[in-house]
Amino acid sequence: MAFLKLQNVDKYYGKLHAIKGVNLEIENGEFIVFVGPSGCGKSTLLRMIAGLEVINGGELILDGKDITTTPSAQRDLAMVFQSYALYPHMTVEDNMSFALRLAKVDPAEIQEKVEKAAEKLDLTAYLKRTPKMLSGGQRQRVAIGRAIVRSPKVFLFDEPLSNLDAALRGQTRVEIAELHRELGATTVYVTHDQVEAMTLADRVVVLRDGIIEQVGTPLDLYDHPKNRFVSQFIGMPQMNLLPADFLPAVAEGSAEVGIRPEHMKAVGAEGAALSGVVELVESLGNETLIHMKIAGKHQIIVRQYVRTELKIGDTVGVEFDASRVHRFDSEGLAL
Amino acid sequence: MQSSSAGNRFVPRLLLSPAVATLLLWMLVPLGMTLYFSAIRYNLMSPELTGFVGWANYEFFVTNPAFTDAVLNTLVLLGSTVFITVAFGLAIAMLINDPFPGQSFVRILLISPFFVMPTVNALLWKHMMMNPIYGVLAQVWTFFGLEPVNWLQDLPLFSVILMLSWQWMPFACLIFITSLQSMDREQLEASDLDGATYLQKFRYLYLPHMARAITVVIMIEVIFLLSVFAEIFTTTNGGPGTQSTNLAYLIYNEALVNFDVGSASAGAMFAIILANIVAFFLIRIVGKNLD
Amino acid sequence: MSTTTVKKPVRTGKYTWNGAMITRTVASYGVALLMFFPIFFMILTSFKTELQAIAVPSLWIFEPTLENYTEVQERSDYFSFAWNSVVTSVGSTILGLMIATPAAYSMAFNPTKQTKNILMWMLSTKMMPAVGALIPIYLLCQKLGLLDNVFALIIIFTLMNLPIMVWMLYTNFKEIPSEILEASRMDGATLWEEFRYVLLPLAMGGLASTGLLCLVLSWNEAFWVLNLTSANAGTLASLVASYSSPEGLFWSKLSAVSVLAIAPIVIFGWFSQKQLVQGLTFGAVK
Repeated sequence: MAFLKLQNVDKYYGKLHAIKGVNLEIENGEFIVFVGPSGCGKSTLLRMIAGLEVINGGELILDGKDITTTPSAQRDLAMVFQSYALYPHMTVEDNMSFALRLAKVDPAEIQEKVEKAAEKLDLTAYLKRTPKMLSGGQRQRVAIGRAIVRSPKVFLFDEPLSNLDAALRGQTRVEIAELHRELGATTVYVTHDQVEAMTLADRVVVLRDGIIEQVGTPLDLYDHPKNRFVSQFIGMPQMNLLPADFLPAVAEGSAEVGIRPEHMKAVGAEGAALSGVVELVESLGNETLIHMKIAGKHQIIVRQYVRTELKIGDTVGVEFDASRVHRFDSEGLAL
Repeated sequence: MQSSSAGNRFVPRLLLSPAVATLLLWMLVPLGMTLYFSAIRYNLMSPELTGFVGWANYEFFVTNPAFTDAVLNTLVLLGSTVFITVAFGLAIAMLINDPFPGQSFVRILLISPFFVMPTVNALLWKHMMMNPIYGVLAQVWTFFGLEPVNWLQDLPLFSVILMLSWQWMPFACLIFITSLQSMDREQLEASDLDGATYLQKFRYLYLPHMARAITVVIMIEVIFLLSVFAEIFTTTNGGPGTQSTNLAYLIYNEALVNFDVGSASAGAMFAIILANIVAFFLIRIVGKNLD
Repeated sequence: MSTTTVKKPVRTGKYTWNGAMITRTVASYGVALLMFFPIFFMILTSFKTELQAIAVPSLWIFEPTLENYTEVQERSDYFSFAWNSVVTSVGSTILGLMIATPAAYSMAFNPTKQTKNILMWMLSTKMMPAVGALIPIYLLCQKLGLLDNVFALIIIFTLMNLPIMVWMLYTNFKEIPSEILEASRMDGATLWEEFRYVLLPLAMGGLASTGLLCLVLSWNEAFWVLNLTSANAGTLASLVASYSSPEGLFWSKLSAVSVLAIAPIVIFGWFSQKQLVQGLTFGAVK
């Protein structure tokens, strides 16, 4: 039996059908990441689980109890907001202990829990400060601390890293992963960053226009995208797509063929399956990305881990690993 | 499908309802009674006359020569005061925006008239400022070799506008000062580098930044000035003739001087219509600026 | 994060005195003194004898007398009027905040398509002339035995100020990120706890300045006071009015009673000026 279960969940904003009958089962202790382009409904879905948005249809079941209409305050969930939403008038300590104080937990126990969380998050020195006096990264950790002192049934994260700079984002990502390993708490995490999705998730949920496109482990999504959208959304640079008639040998009745950049290789123009003109060469040191145009209009990228002598305007051939080819029908579904 | 959202809307509605209900009562009860009085014969001096009169009260009120004057005066009073307070309020706010010694003292002096009771404001100007013989303004005029002006006799509407402007300019100024403090410094520095003159900066940087503040000031002043009463009642009594009679004062005159409640009620209905016309345009203009 | 929208400009401690700075400073003081002059003149007059008051040219140096003030107190009990003013303004402010705060909360954090229309409707009720409602309200008060009654004034002042209060609080609440309130809900706060421990501390500035404005408006309200009260419930506005009609030319006494009537609220306004300004933005400062 799933720990958190969404059954045919619907959300309307007036006439707009924002979440269209979503079904999802989340196991106890799982780290689930909702990912998708902006406006896909991932934050809305999270807020519906949190009880901050009304669920217009379907059921939400947590630990065997129907909580579809339960107010947020009684759901026993904790949330880390994108803006952190710390209480600006309270000290770090008061921010972290607020929920426990409301729940009338014994003060000594509160003290102990807050201190433990603060230690874990490296916040012990800042307990008496207000959020205003903290850096972005510290505020972020307070927001996490506020969630973990409660030991809630589920942790909800709404794009928690998007306000941090790149270096801090990478570091905090690792910390969140460690924290989850340590606490083993069920977590639902929303992001638009696929690196976060790939590195943190046990399972990734790809959403588009209020519909789940695919659910699976990160590598499953990468290796076996169910459709064209997922193939384009996961992977950086994107999977190359070409109309089937360019590669009749591998097309097998598909409309479009997709090959990841690293499964392609630039070779001499003669006798190659494909040939194109080099438009740009990005040398990143460890890898080289060769942008080229096939037949004057289809852009593809080849990724290789050896450096290249190719220059813009050179004509090159492309070889690829036939076993790693993805095929899509005219509807965009994987064959 | 949408039914489950009804439960969630209940609490917000419950919280809103006391304010809406009381204001609705505050509006509807007098409105209903006024509407009723406006259609009957109702004179406090001759209570024996009763009965339904239809539109007669309205006709009586509109054909009163003072009616057109009153509507015009109401609008002139409103328009001039709003214009004067916004223009001078802006100028003064710009003047005292940057720090100088005693800035907060200056601000306290400037803001003071806003706290003065309208009755006191009117009496103070009527007697000590505008008296044609002993008043301060008369002395100033004499000092410059000019004939002192008999303000309340010769320029009654302007005198009232002056008093109202004195009272409301500090308010406009306050809101503008607050708005100016959120002005983007970097934008100003950039315009300095671009070689903008002070006037250009005012036109292209300050004015757009203050658009919301100006809208707010206009909105609030219209709310308070559409039905000015105390200042006129205390100083000119609407006169001489009808020169400073506004709609509010005319209604008062009908009801409590001529004791014709029926006609006054008809007048009140006109005032309500006027208020709604102004509100309609105001909300059109202001509404989109306020979100 | 904080609701404070006003930032004091950074002061370097020393001013650079050039021509422009001197002109600006002199002009500022000039305008301020001009604006304050009528009040100053009235205060001055209140310490003159009646003869000195109407001297032409006006006397600037004279031996001040307190006789006007003692005479006012002898003729009419200043403190009973002042007490009525305090009771009605404080009472209506508290009552008004109690009704306006939940309404503003509801509108700011649970907006619907109707929210703006409701707000505009509320404001439009304020544009109708009070005179229009005078006869009905007078008759109602008469029926209910509430003529010349402090309680009736409190209710009327509250209703009179309610639209402005709702609007002011609404614009103030809107500056508080709703995620903070949502966070408290996630933390298990009930509606009351959310209000008491999160909204209230964050909105204190807005609540205070709304209350202050309401206090000022109620204190200065004259129309309803003059028409609905006499000896019992009269506020300072009616005390001033009682000196105006028959004795308009007794300037010193009129000045003394006026000073007494406005002094509490003006001084109060001076001290709370900063607070008042902070909340008085009506959403005008983004």
